[in-house]
Amino acid sequence: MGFYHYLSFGIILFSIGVVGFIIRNNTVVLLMSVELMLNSVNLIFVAFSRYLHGTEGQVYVFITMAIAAAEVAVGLAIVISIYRLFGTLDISKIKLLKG
Amino acid sequence: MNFVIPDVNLISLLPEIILLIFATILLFVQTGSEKKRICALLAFIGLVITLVMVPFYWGKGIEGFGGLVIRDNFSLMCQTMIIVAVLLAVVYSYQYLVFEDKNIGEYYALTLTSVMGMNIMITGTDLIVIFLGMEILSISLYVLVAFFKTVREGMEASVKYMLLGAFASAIFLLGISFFYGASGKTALNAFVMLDGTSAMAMPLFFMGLSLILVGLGFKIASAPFHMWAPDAYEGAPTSVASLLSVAPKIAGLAVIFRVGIGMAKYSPEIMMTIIAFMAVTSMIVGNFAALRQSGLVRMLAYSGIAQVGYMLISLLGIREGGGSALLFYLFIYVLMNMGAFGIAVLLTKEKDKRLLIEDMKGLAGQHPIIAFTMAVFLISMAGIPPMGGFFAKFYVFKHGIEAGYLWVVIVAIITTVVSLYYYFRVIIVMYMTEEEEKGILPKHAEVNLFNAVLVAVALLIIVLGVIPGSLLEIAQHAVAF
Repeated sequence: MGFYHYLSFGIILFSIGVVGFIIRNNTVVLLMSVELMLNSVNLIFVAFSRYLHGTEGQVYVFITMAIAAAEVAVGLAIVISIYRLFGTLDISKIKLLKG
Repeated sequence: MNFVIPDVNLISLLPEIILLIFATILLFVQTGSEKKRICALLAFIGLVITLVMVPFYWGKGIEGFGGLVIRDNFSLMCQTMIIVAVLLAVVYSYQYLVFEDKNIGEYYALTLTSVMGMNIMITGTDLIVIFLGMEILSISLYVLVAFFKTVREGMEASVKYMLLGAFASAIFLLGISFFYGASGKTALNAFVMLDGTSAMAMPLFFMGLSLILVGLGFKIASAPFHMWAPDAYEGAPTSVASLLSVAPKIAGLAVIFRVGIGMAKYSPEIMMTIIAFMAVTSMIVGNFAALRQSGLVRMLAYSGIAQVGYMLISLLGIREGGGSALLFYLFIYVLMNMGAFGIAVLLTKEKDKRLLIEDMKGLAGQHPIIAFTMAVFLISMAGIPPMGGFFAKFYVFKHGIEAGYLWVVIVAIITTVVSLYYYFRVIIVMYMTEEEEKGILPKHAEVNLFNAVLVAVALLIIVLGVIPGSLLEIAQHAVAF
């Protein structure tokens, strides 16, 4: 297990997140995809940090985790309001705005 | 391994600290009947204090946190523009929010924290600091867009904005991680390519740079990453949409400028190619999509996308001093876009009903001053000589040609001609249609603070169009490093 394994694993996880974000319609699944993307970046940071013999990358992981937590807190609050108003979480059925 | 505590210079972040203090105070305001007035006043005072501080910092280039934050003239100029825009947005909010709206304190507190995030973005010289600022800004704005949680359009706008914004943040963060892998650092001004890893460093660096630009492209609503913008502006409360359409774009463009300056010695051709692509698609998509809009706010959203395209042209000449043209354009853009959104705030009667361009029929007959200011803003956006928008476009095109991107400027000129149609359609509806029995506004709208602000903004645009020299001089001074 070398550096390139970790880097490739991180990039593959990120791509899964991107694909999930594009093909899924459920709002909660979209939030989960974004979380997957953020966490895979954490993995890439740690891999680079180890490869470059630096410590900054590992510190950035904690910053990213805090930001991801704040983002998902606001995101879930908005999702709950959406469900109360529309009765559905399907983003393709929520389309009052268009043009 | 010795650990050196970096020089924490809190003076460098004093404006942000003051904004945070005022935001915290606003969360605790409990004064019943006078709450609306007191909250707006507190937010106004906090913003004015941070604006007054700008001259004291000017020319000093104070650094803090071991160089992570720098308050140079460029960031001070951007700070001035952001605070002017948000001050106008506070005035609009005071007009727009009615007394029954609860949680007004939170509304203004979130506005102030979003300003704090933007200030951190423009003063940060490290990508992680910039990312932190971007997230503070974005998370505050997601909540502000969803402020009326029983309005369906607003919630839909918020969920779309939130999902795409989070997606863009993740892409930006991936860019930072590649950047870190290529250089071992995340500082923009001290970028040094690592030796010994050069085989992998260069591709990683280019990928990181491209991903960072894509992430920022989302935040400034430049095509092809613009799809959230029209929905978010239309669904959001109009006073929030005015903030959303101006302030994050200033911060995002300032960051692109800093990235460009930092990368100047590492062959930024790939960066220029991406910026040229974003500029051309923004101008084409924005202008042609605005042609077929019937809603005023949606039309302004697409016109904002087109304006971002024009501003990106100035960044093509970043090494030849294009930053001054960017700052000049941004200043005019703040005034004219906030002005036009101010009219939209004034005309929005019901919160869950779209404002159509046809609704403005006969506005000139009943309210000549409001119609005249709207005409000034629209003519300035179209870039017709007596207004400030003309010189803004002129300087941008000049820098684009000097940088050798003649084809981009030609596209810009063609799309400017297209834009005349939709800007003038609004003016024609206002001035040349029959007066209706019942106009959109009450017959005797009193002369109040709101109208005075609109007239002042319109006058400033005309003044800057006649004598643009002094503002341009300040802008050139601000980008001289």
